Amino acid sequence: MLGVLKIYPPALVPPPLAVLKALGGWAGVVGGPQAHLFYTGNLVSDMTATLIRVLAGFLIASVVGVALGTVIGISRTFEELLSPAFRIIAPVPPITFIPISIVLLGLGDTTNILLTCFGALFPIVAATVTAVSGVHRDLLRAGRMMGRSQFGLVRSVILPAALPGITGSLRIGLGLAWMMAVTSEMLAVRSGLGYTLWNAYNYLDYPAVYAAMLVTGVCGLATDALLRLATRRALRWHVDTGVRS
Amino acid sequence: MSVPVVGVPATTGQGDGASHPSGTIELADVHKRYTQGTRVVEAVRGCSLSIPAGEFFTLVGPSGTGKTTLLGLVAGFETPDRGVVTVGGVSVTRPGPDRAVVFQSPTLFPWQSALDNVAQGLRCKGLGRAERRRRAGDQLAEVGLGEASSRHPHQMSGGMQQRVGIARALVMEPTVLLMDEPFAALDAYVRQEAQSLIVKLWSRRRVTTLFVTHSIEEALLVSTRVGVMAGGTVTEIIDVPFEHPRDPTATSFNELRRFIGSRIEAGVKAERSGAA
Repeated sequence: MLGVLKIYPPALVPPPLAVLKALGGWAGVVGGPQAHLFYTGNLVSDMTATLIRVLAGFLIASVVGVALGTVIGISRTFEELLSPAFRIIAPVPPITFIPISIVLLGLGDTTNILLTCFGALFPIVAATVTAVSGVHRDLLRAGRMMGRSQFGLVRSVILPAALPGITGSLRIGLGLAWMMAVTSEMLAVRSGLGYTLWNAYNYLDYPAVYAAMLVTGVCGLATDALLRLATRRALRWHVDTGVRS
Repeated sequence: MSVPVVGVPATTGQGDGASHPSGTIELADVHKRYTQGTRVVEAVRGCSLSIPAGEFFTLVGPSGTGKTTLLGLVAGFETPDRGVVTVGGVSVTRPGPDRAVVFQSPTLFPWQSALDNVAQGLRCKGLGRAERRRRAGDQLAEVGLGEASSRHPHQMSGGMQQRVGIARALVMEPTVLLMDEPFAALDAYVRQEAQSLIVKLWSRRRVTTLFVTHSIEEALLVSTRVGVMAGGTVTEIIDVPFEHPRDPTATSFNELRRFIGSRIEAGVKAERSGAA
């Protein structure tokens, strides 16, 4: 649009066709000038590399985040113990951890997955705390009068009751995982969507930059749809009683 | 009254404590206060009460006289500041499946069907899944919800939800049933149905029941004895001499209703003048 209107020269704002050509070259299905670039034919391997990092980082963040959020949500002691640390670390942008992570862990998947996990962790913890501490007292009492242990209460009352809020936090966390995975790929590894994007930028190959952004968006959308699908059955009751029912 | 009623040791060695049938509820000089912000509320003040096994005992009284707190103490949700609460001779320290509770709002698990909600009550009994579901289904049928077992709470009316709550409590086969204004939110007709349902269930099982309500009529319709609460203690206990089913339009019924009403009023007045 900006290119068509000549606000910017077409070389800087490529037309959609150029982006599609770059995408085709990336996928290895378009010949011509796109056939011998650094990313030619790498689309699937780049997507897979990023996807694995996102999923690994997100899964670790989910397990750790929900566990931490649950303990903080049910226990005042843990709340007082852990909250101050979180309040200090949470406002520091996860991106600022890229330099020290590279220094300490080197370039590679470990660094990337750790940073991805880190980016998703705090929102998951924060929203889980809110969801867990908001579970109605009488539901807990019902569980206790039925003879549940503390662990049984968490498993069969607190987590199911807090699941709508936790799922919301997981969706935010998944988006942030994509953000951190792609961002840290620009600096910390030599494969993936972020690496290709940044490298294309360095080669002044702007169509490929747009193509990489497009692929990232579509992949993010797909994983979000999968997450919603996976939690849909467990949340049916909540959807049915919600504002939009 | 020369016959000792407590402290007789079990001579046969059978059962758990012959001196205390397992459903007996005893409160001895129980005090409970809690803080609401900066205000200290003395919810229960020196309350002593003895409810023999198999009785249907109802607490009536205006809001804020400690009825719900008293029930919470027997359930084990609260612990007394002073005094002892025992059920079946055993001191109450925490909630347990021997004391089933029906809450004011149904408090079902919204993510589960009616059947699974009732089956939850059986999780502590170490039964297999199939057996749990079978018993839960039978229990739902007994409260008249055999057809609704696959429905979720939000797909049921308030009266149906509360019947699921009753089924969940009864399926646990508790020694004591505690009900905290369970029908307060129901409309008049559904309320009547629910009242006759619990009378029917109680007549069949004779589970010791502690029931809390605002309504004197409800108390007289369902219970064997009514305790009037005022100022955090039971000030008066009235026997209900009528046979089931009871007629709330009968003269004797209304005389007793008026009498209890006057006792509640007297309690409120005494408390106000005491507080002033």
